[in-house]
Amino acid sequence: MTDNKAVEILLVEDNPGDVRLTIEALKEGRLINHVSVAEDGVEALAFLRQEGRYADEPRPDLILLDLNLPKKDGREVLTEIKADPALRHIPVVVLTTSTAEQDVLRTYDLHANCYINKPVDFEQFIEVVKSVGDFWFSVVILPSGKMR
Amino acid sequence: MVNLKPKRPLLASVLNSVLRFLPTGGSLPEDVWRKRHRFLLALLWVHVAIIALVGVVFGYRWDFSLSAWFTDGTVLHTVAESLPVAFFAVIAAYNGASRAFRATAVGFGLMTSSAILVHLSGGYIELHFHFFVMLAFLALYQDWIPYILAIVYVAIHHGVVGVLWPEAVFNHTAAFNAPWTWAGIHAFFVLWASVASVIAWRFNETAFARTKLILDSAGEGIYGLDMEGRVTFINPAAIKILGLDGGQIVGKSMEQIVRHTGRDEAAFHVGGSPILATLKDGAPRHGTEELFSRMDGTSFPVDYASTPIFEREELIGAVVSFRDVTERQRTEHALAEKAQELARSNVELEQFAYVASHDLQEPLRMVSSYTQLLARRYKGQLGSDADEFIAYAVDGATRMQRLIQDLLAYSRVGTKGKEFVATDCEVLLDRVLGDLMVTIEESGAVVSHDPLPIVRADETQIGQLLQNLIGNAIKFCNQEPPLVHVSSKRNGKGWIFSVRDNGIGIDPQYAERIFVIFQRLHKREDYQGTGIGLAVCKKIVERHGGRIWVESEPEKGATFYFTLPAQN
Repeated sequence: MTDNKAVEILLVEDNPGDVRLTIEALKEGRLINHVSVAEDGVEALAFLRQEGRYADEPRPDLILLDLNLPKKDGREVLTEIKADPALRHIPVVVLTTSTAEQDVLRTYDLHANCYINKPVDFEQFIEVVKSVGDFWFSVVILPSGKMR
Repeated sequence: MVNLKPKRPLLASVLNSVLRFLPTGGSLPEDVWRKRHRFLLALLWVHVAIIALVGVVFGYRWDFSLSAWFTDGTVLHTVAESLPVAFFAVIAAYNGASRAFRATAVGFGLMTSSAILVHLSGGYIELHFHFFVMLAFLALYQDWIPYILAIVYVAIHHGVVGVLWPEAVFNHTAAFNAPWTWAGIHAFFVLWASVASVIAWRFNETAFARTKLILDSAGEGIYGLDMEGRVTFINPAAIKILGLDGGQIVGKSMEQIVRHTGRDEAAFHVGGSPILATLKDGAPRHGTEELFSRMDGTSFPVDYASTPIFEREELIGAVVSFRDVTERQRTEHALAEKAQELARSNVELEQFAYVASHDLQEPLRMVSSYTQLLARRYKGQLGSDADEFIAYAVDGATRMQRLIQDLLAYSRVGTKGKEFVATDCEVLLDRVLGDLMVTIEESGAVVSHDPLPIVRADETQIGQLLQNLIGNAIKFCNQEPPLVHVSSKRNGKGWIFSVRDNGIGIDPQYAERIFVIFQRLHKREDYQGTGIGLAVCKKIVERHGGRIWVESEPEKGATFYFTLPAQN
């Protein structure tokens, strides 16, 4: 298992309310973490590729990706991540607002690792975040070479 | 009581009855009159020839002296006798004169022929029959003036000639001695021959009048065609619709009064109209929304029928009836446009409901999540009032979320429906029962079913429908255990499904209301829900062209019925 090293999370989300909520939920979930926030798709990709002012930023262990983003939407970001050999092993959790959106995404076959419906119920959200944490642990114990 | 009808004197009423029985006269259609006139004129010329040839045939004396013209028994005299008849025939042929005048000339000519024949025979009684025959023929004009004048002619002739020269009209001594009496006897028979003719004429006239009445009052244009495609008659409506300015139309070819084209203007070449094809094969034709062009080039859409006329199984022409459908087309187009508009606005409305409820979720999520975060972090730290307020805020937000989700589900029935496929309802029901497993286990419900058919439907939606109905049946139940039974039976081209329960039932007065969106019959504390389930059911069934209804009484359970089309 991992040590007490903080989990590096990139949260791609433009709505500050949701950013804060996610951070709070992660806190409640007792997951030791460090969250970086990108507010649009372009920024997210720059962060991931450590371009420009993000040169010193760490590679995230997990990406939480909102779908409705300015400049480049979540679907495009996901496509680019999965097309990039350096990034494609990072697990991506897509945050959606409805099951209908998930259906649409699945038809595009974009290989997101997980979908989370942003819940209204905060307690539920905490549960979800916890399970994301568990999910992440189960993923990171695999040798990175076997990651798809 | 007031008798509005004034009482008529007896004599006047008798006279009126007699007059009513009599024909009006002078009402023959022009084309019919012409035909009859031609025939009677020919008859007149035949008499001219017969009278002129009597001398030759019977071997009269060939004497060419001037006096021979006026002497009985000479060939010249019989020729001279034919001249007055020829005179009447000539003036009767004059087209410029009125119908009554020409008919009277024919009448005088025929009566003169009769008189001459009687005279030439030396007053043979059998030749008097000729008068009756000619009078009967004269009735063909169906006109009083020539008819009465002819009778007057006979009366005067018999009276005057019979009294002055009895041997010229009678051939027996009794008549020579009492010419007035015998003239009277002749007049009596002439009178009754006339009465018989008038009766026939009257019936004939009534038949014509009825036909004319029908043709005149018809709103449709009607015209007749003979085998050459010439117009044999045309009614006022046709004249008006085709814009024909009252000139002589009968006898013109159809192409001279109307040009018939198909739905687009160039569809038929000249003579290629299906109307004219009826004249070739005797088969009726009809068309809808084809074009008729007037002679001035304007055109209008018509529905028409071309019907063959047979006489003794021989095709003799056709009757064409047509109706200007401009107005109807306009109405239909307007209606179609409105329907399209309505469909468009319906789609827009559904889209709107979908988008609105979808976008409403975002801010609502903020409200609800942060109130919950507040509750979690600060419960018991802000005082009991704050705890209560936060609890209400959380509850409200949660409820609103459910409403919006239901609204989304409702609008999705119309906007996100899938194509209809063959759906095995039995398989579908098993899946639905799987989804409801927790509910069924918690309530201890027993759900049974008869064999269910395969229908043509949107599988997902019918699953939703069954799930809602069974879910309701379990939910609205105070008994242990809830019993639900699903069955179906064939009904014409479709199936009637039923979902029966032993629940609390529904007062029949609410049987319609429960299918209206967000309508609830119970307090939220008693039975949860937003009141969308049955509205969704109704929308799903209606999208499948079916109907949904409930039969129930309070405390006696309810049976929900819905219809679905069969597989084919």
